[in-house]
Amino acid sequence: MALDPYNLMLIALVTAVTLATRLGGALIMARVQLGPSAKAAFEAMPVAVMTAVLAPAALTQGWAEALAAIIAVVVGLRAPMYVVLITGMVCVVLFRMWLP
Amino acid sequence: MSVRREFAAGAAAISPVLAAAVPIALLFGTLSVSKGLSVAETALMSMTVFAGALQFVAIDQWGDPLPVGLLAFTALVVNIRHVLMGASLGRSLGGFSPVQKYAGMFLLTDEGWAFAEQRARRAVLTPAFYFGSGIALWLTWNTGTLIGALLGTGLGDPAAYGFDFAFTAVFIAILTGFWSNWRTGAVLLASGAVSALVKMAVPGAWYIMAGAAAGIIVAAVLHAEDDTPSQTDGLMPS
Repeated sequence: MALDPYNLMLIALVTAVTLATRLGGALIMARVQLGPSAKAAFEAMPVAVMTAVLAPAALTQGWAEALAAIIAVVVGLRAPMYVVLITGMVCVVLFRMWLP
Repeated sequence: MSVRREFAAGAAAISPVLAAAVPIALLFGTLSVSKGLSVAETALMSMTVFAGALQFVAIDQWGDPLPVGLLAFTALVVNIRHVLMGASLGRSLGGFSPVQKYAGMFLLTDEGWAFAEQRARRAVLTPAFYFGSGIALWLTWNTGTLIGALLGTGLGDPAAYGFDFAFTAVFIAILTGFWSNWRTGAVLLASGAVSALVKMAVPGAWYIMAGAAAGIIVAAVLHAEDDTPSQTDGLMPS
């Protein structure tokens, strides 16, 4: 069984919904003019959306993840991304050995 | 700058994300096969859906009988943030032709989008830069998924090496790159607190939209209050 029709249908469904959300934003912006407050709201979107994706995963999984995330924030304010990546991974492995 | 150099600059900018994506993609491939999808189906899903978070959630719900309505609903809830991201990025796509713009949206991911937004704040976002980062991530994600699906479950547990934390670390690094002033902190606090609370209280992926909305509202309100020209911290004209 290489390609099951039901699986293919589900993949197509998930693809279609995802594509709709991807195109939706660009289509909306093609016909909207922004005032100053709306402009500030749009400028905050990257931080707001990414924090909302990230914060629960970083803060509610356990002490090891939360502490490693905080250290990554501090390192991230100064160091390049690769350093943050490696520091975060090393910290989380160490903290998981020592913390609940 | 030439198209080739812009393309390479996009791919280079996103390279830490690529490094973090490899173990996650391998993991997705093995999980998908263990849930009963074939290697071809797994590869196809990664190629067409190309949304890591949703793919993990979807594969988790995959079963018999196939939950069609639930999957469609989940896909909408998990990915509705793309509408916000596309709307925000849409303001920086002035140099894109209509075809480039809509084709580019197919490659829209959290990470690719974050780098595009960052680029747009420092220079002009060119199609070559955007597609350079997007295609590099697409190729990495799909190669990793395919290898993971072929290897099956013989890979071991990525958590043992901290790989499951790789994306969190990369996201944090991207996020700190967006810091400009105290308003950034206020948005961050609002989004973080609301998303964490909603995640604990409400099942599903609503926490993303709730947290994003909180941060966006805070940004709009703070700006409205700031219209009186007495503030002194205005380093960034908004």
